[in-house]
Amino acid sequence: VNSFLATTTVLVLSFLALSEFADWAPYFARRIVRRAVRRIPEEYRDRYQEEWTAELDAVEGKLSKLLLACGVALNAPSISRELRSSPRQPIRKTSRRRKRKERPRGRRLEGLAQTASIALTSGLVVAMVSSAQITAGRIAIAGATVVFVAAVMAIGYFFVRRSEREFQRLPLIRESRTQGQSDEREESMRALKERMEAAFAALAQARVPQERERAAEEAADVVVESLLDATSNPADHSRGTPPQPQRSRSDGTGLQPG
Amino acid sequence: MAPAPRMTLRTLAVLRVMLDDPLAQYYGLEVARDVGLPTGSVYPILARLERAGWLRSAWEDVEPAAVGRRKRRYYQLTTSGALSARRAMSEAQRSIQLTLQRVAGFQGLSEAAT
Repeated sequence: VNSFLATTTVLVLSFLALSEFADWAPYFARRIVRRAVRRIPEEYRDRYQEEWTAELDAVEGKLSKLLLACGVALNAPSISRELRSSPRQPIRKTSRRRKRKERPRGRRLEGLAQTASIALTSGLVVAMVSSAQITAGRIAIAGATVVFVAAVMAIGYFFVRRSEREFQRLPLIRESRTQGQSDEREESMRALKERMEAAFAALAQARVPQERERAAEEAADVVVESLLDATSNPADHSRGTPPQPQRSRSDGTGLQPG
Repeated sequence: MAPAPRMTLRTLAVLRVMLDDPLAQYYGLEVARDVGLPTGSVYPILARLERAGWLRSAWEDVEPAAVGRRKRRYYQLTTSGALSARRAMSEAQRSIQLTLQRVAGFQGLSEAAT
């Protein structure tokens, strides 16, 4: 009877721990990606955050997402090295103080709660597996541990919800103050910057005189446009669409300009 | 002009896959699957090639709400990148061939000595 009880308990607990872990895996994956993104230069963070999150969404299976995130995190230092070797990209490190300021309250406790719950559940499973004989006392201890783990996870969940609510309040305030102007302005500036980089890259790569002439013309267009953009009223961008490229690329690749 | 990227076997493997269809666009995960590399290890290579001007990348031109997923970042060989990649592949091939010839020559000498 004891052996049957032990086996059943171990199986049930393992299943619970695994399913719990699998349910949390996508969340952990996103967290890992967010941490990995912090290791690369600031100007590339938005891009890679978006790119890797899209890749995570494309992967099927909860644990596969976690594996992908781990792979990305392991390779983040080398990506950072590759990007930092660019002479035109200044490196700005986010200070520890700023990071702490930006992090919503409760995040650290939430992490602690997750770690504690996983550690306790795994510890419990290992203890159950390693114990040769199951007594009523041990089962009671195991039950109490499970209750404790559940309580810790509930507290963690509470903090996650609370911090998310706090986090969501911030952009709302900002939006009401700026009426969405800054976002559109930022987007248009980014598009212009990308176009400018592309134009200069094309100019640098051009070898044939005709190609060089065309690239120079394109670069000059972008420069003029950026000068006009810098001198124009920022509010203009919020009313209309962001400045569109004057000449669309018709290379048949289907890629966006930039 | 950006300096030529560091060539490793993995870089060559990525380039070989992309050279199969130089006009095709690939996203990171797709490249990793085609090359057979661990997913995360492809991004440093793509970053290196992009910095060197061999690749260009752009966001997918779709509406996320319409396709039901986020926009992907697509990578594509540039014209000069495709040419440089072909050159790098043939150089690598030649260097491997030369090494093999040397090894074969060394083996022949050892066999003759014994």
